[in-house]
Amino acid sequence: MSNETVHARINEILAMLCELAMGNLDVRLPPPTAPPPGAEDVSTAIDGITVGLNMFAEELQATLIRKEQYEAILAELEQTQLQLLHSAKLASLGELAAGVAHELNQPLQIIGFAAEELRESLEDRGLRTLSRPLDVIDSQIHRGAGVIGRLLAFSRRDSDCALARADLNEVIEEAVAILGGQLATQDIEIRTELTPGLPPVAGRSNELLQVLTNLVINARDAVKSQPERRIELRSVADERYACLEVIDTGTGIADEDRPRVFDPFFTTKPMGKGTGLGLSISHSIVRRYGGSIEALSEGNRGTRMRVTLPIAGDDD
Amino acid sequence: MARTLREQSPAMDIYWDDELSMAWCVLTAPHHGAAEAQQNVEAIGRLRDSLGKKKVRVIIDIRSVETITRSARTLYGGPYTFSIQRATVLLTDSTISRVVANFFMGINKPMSPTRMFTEVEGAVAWLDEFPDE
Repeated sequence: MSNETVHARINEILAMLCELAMGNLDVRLPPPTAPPPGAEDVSTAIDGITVGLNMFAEELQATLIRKEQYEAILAELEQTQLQLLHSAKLASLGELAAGVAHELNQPLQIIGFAAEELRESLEDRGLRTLSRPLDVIDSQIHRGAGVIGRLLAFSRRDSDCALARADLNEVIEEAVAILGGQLATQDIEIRTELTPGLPPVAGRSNELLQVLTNLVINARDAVKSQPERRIELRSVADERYACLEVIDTGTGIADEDRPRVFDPFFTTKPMGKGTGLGLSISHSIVRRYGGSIEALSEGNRGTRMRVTLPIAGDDD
Repeated sequence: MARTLREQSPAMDIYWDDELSMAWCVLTAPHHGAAEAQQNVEAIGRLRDSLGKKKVRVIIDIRSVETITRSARTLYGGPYTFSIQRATVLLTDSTISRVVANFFMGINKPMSPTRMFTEVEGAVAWLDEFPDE
């Protein structure tokens, strides 16, 4: 074999190695024009290396894909863990609420009975005018009983949730009827954009009204110091879920706060202005019906709270 | 060896050696992807069924193979192959076929016992160590 032939072959090998280095793993060394007698040409060995590299590249790619899949599963697990933690917190809070409600209920009932006796006693003695302050006591007992009822409702795990169904448009209209006047006095514009013919969702109207009221009150607090004060209520649906959205022009939710907004007792409102239970209770209610509640916010451009609920089936 | 052609797939011919009670599978296509691998293992499965055996001992002649994709290697090394093949010899000669065989055994780690041979006598002797089922 002449020097020129060897030189040419070396150039072919170098060109092929350059191709390999550039990531072309399918490149093959052309067979030699003059094969060396009795010896295996270097091309077969190099071809073997490229085949091996090709297979390693495939395995690496598959490993990377698996890694991405594991990471996605891990993220999902972390999310589930957070939800479990949240559920556990709510369960503890529920127990606490039930205990407090029970403890408050007894003295309230005793006060009620005593007031009743006092009223009868005063009336028997012809002192009906003196019993007027008892009306105030009665009304405050009634109010206290309402608070206890709501606390118990929060802690209760209803077994007939599956049977409940509600019209989200009606819930929105009712919320506007209740809160619209108050918002108007604070110069807050309220808009509704309702999808007509919305199918009923799983959930009780009064509880969903409580959820929506909480969201609108939060929205009100967020917009009232803003130059543009607007709250939009929307309803949309697809084949499986219906959503209601409360969109405000407020300050938005800070990124660091967003993971905590559904935590019990978490609030960004000034001391004494919020308990930090509204969103937590709302979350609990929505989850009980198989739905979800999300806080979507982009910096200081406002907040979009989205409640998604499954559409009630025929059996519901 | 007295071999008769018993099964065929588009990328493989399967001969049965009655005397040795072993299958001789010759990969006829240079490139094997998932589709070829599926057809090949199914063909070996049909052979096993037609012989009424639990598993067959197999020599796979990969001397004309140039590439076997990852999905094909996964299938060849997977549970279905394990369920039909008692032990497997990869018969090689060229550098490429040796690389493919070594890679398959080292990285894909087939579930059934697998070894690479470059000559038939050694392959048959090794397969004979596994009882015919």
